[in-house]
Amino acid sequence: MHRVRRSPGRATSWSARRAASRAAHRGQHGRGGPGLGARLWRDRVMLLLVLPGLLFFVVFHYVPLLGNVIVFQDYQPYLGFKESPWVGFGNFAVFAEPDFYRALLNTLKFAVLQLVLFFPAPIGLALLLNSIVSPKIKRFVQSVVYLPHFIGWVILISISQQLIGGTGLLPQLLGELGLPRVDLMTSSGFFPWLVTLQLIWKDAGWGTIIYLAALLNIDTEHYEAAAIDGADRWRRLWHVTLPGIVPVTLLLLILNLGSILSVGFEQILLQRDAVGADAAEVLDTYVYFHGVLDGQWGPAAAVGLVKGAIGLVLILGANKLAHRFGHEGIYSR
Amino acid sequence: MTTSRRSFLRSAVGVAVMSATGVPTLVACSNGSTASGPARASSVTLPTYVAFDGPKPDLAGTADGVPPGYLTYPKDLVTTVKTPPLSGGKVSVMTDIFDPLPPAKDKNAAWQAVEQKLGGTLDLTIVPDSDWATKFQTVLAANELPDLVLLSDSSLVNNLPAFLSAKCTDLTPYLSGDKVKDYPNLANIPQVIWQACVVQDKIYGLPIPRSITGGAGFYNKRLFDAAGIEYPATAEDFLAACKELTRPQQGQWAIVNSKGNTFFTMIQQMFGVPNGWKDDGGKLTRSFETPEYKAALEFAVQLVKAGVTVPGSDGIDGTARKNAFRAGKGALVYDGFPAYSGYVKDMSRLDPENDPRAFVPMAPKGGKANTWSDNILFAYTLMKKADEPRVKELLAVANFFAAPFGSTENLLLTYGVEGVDFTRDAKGNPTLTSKGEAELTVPWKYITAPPQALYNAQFPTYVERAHEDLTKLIGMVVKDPTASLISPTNDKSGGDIGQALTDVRNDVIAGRKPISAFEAAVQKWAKDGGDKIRGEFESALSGGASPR
Amino acid sequence: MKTSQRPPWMEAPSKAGLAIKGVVIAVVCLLVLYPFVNIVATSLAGESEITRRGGIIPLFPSEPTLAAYKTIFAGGVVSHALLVSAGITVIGTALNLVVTIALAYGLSRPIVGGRFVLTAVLFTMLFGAGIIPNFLLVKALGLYDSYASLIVPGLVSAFNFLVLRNFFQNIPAELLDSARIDGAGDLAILLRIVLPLSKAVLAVVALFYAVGHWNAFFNALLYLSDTGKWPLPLVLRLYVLQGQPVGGASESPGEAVASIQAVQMAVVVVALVPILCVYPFLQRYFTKGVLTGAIKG
Repeated sequence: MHRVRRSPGRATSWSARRAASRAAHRGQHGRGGPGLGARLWRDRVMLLLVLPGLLFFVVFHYVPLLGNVIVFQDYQPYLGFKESPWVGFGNFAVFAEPDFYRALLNTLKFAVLQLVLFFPAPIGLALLLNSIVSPKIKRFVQSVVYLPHFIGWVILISISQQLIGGTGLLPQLLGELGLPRVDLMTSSGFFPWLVTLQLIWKDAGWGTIIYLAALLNIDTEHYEAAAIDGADRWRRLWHVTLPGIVPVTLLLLILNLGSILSVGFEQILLQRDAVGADAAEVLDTYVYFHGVLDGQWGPAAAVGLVKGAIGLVLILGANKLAHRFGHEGIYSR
Repeated sequence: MTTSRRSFLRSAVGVAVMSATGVPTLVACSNGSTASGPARASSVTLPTYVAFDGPKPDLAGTADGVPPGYLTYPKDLVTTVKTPPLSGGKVSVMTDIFDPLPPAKDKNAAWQAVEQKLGGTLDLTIVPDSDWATKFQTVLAANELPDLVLLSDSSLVNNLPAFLSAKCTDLTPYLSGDKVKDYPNLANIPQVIWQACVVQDKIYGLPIPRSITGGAGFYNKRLFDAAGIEYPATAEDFLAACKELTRPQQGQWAIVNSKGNTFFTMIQQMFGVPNGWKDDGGKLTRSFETPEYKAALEFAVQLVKAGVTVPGSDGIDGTARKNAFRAGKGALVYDGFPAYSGYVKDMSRLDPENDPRAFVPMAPKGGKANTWSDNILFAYTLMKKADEPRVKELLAVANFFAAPFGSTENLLLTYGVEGVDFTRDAKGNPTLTSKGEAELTVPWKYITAPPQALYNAQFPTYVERAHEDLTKLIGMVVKDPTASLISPTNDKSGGDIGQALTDVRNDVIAGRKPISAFEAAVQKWAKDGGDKIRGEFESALSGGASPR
Repeated sequence: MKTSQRPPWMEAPSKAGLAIKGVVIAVVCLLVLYPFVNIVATSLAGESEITRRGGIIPLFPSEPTLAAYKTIFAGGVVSHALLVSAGITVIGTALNLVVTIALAYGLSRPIVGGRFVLTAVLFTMLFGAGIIPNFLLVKALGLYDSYASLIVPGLVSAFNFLVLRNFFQNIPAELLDSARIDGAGDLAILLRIVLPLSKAVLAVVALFYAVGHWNAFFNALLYLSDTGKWPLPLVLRLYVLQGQPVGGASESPGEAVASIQAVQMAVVVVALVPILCVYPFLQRYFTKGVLTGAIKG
């Protein structure tokens, strides 16, 4: 049985078919299908496999989550959870400060830029890499492109300063050419772009890894069939390649939306003084200066909680949207 | 006491982020800054001062805090600790490190030798300074305090007096007055330093003394001489000198700045800005509310506009700042006084003509310059609550680490084991071997320390100059009247509202905002809590018990 | 005759297309590599040269020296930390993979309570507890100051789990159905079909975990007090952040002294080299998964 499929992205996946067959079964065995006990038995191997991971999350994520009680406390470490005084919603006063909204605005600005510029970068790069025919060159370029991921922000910004900073190579070069010596690192207008470009340099290459894995899994038969049908490279890209990476792209996009309000902390903190708080303050640095530094854990936790809630809403919304377009998202239907 | 290390001397930013309530860490600082000086008579009797009867210095120290100077390493060392403080027991310490990690105990000859002299085990939990806040608060929350722990930044604990009385030993009964004579090395620490260890009339801290003032930075005389400039006598001359020193085509500017406008500290001291607060017969004015501050701010704006600061240097960290000054990119830099010997050593290696000197601030015409008593201590160490015999034991341990320059213990703690960690040169001065350099980074100098002594075998002229400079600088020192006072609002939100103000100040200096923005920000500061803080300090000042 | 590596269905690109592609790739490689050339060059440069050139060496140091590397490895602390990190990475990654594969496979098709568990895991990506509760937990479990505290709290990464699950879900259903018809149970399907077909994504997830372990310092900072157990990044952190020049007191005259910038760059290289060595091995797995025994047809 050799089936030719036009668009592999629409191939019925495992889980979808299973769900369909269960629905069919339900019709056969009456409402509710086979009883709970029977289903537990049927799924026993899977449940056993799931158990260690689940246990891990319960112990190491859910138990500590109780610590978020400090959102409603004036938490002092030496008093502990039991003796720190309760302040109800007092910690949420941080949301009333005008400086908070400056930080929020900047955060959104950076988030949009990162979504539009940084999110697609690994995809484009992966497609480019994938189209390299010679395996040697492909492997070389792959290895090269992963390297920047391993440089910490402290070093990266130090190098940045020495290359494009006030007394760095770029201004020197410009000066010699008679052009105005531009200091890109202290320009508050350029700052959002600077941050995004730094992020692309650092992590776009690393981000290609997942996409390359997805591209590998596209059945070459689809390419052959498309070529036979007369598609040139661009049509093959549109009809075979791109649909092949839609599932993983959607997954990453949805997850990205969940943490969209975290636009970078260390990177921005290290450069904040160079451009001023108006341009550089984001939620995480705001919480740092107005909560953490004074030993105020409560407000920091409150902001974290709200960020998480927003992220959750965005993820669920994006997931629903993905379903509308006929894709799986994170949850299956 | 308001110890704050979120201060001018930022050498690097180290940050760790963790999940939703991520607590990134504090900015590192190679020298602490502590204000001092009571505004009212403290009711605690400070430890009696008994000077160390050791090798005579070539340049005498003073009671004000000018350190003694030695041009060669003393020959007749005195042993100050006759019996080991511990009897086989253990002492656990958590402290800071700024250097590379030393080899672990089992591979570290110096560490083992120290343990032998202590008569027990020394368990050190070493924390990179940039991550101090995280580790300290975590350990505190888990109730895992070691016997001795550094209090590197008191703003980490919101209600300091409550924390201290709940968890730490009050050392007053053991050290006050003549009691300290049981611990001769602790008695060798001047009272002005002990004063900084007092919180609400109780002695809680074991000090790590410094040279009282952090100074006003450094200048490279070679660059001045090359430009034919004499040391400026007034602030106006200073401005002219800076313009002379700025030669962008040669890659040279006048002032090396760094994150947070560190050069501004220099300027403030030139204009006589008070140290933290000014006390006018019980009425307090914050430094940035004074006319001197405004004048300093305007001057700084002028300097930046004139282009005399190294371009982009308002965004660089401490390492880059040091390097820029060393490389001659700038002729002036603000850095803490303890960095002096490092500059002398490194810069003469790069170019023997280099001549870093301490910058003594000069006033504008008709004004008065000053320096601040912002470096009395690096910090102090707290002792966990314990019973009397244990407290005495731990004090004996602290006494060991406070062995002064000129004692055998100090030789061990600084240079390690002879033959393994150090050798003697032709003049008999100890020189670290490479093994010694690696081993001696064990941070026991941050447990308790003796008052500093000036000594540099390689550069004796540095010792003479530093002694002379410190005499001048300490002579100009002004104290912070709120130093040993507690203001709960300041503990809780002082940093918060202060940061907002600092951000605007930085914008003004960089030219992004006009001076009027700063004035508005000061009023906002007052409204957001500054007035409340002022009120609390004033009532503490007037002799009433500190609130809480 | 040159054997073409081009698959038969792919037409040869136009000369212009090839040229453009080549230029783009070359530019990308240059942009990425240039700072690394700086890093390596600076790490090999002497102090006076670095100072003269303003802090960074553009291409090659004129008097290369290994002073920075000697400084880092003096005292044996870094070498020891390297071994510690290597051990943690190998053991940690192995454990990570086992548990994550099990979880991802188990949740890759609808099962009783599956949706609930998935939601629970997803939730943890958005809400964290922060440092102090985690610390208290580690203490309570007796993991403090042990190597286990570096591995167990991060046993499963929700992100890696989701990626793996996503790939498992996209394996064509026919392959699994045929196996099921042949009587294979869930475990057999995992081992004989799913895993062999997932070589690429397994390599990816292994890489993510391994790199995570190799670069991790935060757990070590919090949960270790014995400096003999410090992993590499924590030790190297002290060089990067200390801001003070190293060495110097004992150098013999004439021997180059390591400048702090050289040491910082050398730190980057030291952390990077092991990864560069390991990566080619992983690349072997970065191929299409192949089924043993034909199922299609």
